Amino acid sequence: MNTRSVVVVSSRRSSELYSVENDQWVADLQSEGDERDSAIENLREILLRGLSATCRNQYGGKVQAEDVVQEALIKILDKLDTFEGRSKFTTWALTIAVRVAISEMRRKHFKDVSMDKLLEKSMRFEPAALPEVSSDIENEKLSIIKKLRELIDDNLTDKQREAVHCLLNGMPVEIFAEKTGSNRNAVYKLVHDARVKLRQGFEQAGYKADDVNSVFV
Amino acid sequence: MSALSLEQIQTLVGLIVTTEPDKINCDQCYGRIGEFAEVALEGRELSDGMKIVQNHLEQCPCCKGEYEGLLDALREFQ
Repeated sequence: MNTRSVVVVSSRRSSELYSVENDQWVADLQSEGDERDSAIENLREILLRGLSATCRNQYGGKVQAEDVVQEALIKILDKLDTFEGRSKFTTWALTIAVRVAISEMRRKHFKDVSMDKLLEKSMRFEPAALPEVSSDIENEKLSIIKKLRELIDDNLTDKQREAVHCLLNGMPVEIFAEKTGSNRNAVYKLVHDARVKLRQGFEQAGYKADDVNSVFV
Repeated sequence: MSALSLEQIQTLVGLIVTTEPDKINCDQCYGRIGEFAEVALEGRELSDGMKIVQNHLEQCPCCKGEYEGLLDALREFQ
């Protein structure tokens, strides 16, 4: 039984708070005493309402808004000086809070996934993935799959094969980066470069992107 | 975990054929995603800068997942 306290957020009140001006938010959160405490409490209400929707719709509700709101608040207050006013303050704060929540959901989701096990058969193709040659379209598909196999073997590095394999098994680059001691930007670039190499490989072999795609649609 | 299935190969082919040059990384996207979400929710025309963010979201499933989570949150206040 879930004994966690249920926070009821009044939608009218949080909608009113949502429209408070940016400067007012920053001034109140940078002030001291009751004014600051009240602003933090108001921000918490907004985060709880927004995060409740995010948590409900992503990764099957593995995380509750109440689980992450405190960490999100601390991050927002730490980063207050970096707010540039490009969006509403509340949008900016929710951006930070949503990343905290989704990162936590992803960590929970992939907590028990062993990289060694996942990469045991990295980028190997199941025999069943090679279709029977029963029609022209299947013949074309087989030819593309064989070319793809060749391009993966010849054009990608081991690290690129591993990262692409994990991506195809649903692992976000954020988690791959954490599990391999890398960082998100580097892993994103690793995967993107791999995709570019494979696309160029197809083009150099005379395959047009649209034709390749249409065979698999 | 098994080797790649035909479905995964199809996903990979989809990723390959939709690959476009990307001018920003995930951190840069994160810095502008709030502004992008507001523009998108209000149905405003995308500036060149926002089109760069849109392109990154189309290339990066990880950032796209966070963007969708942000939209879920922001829609609560619309």
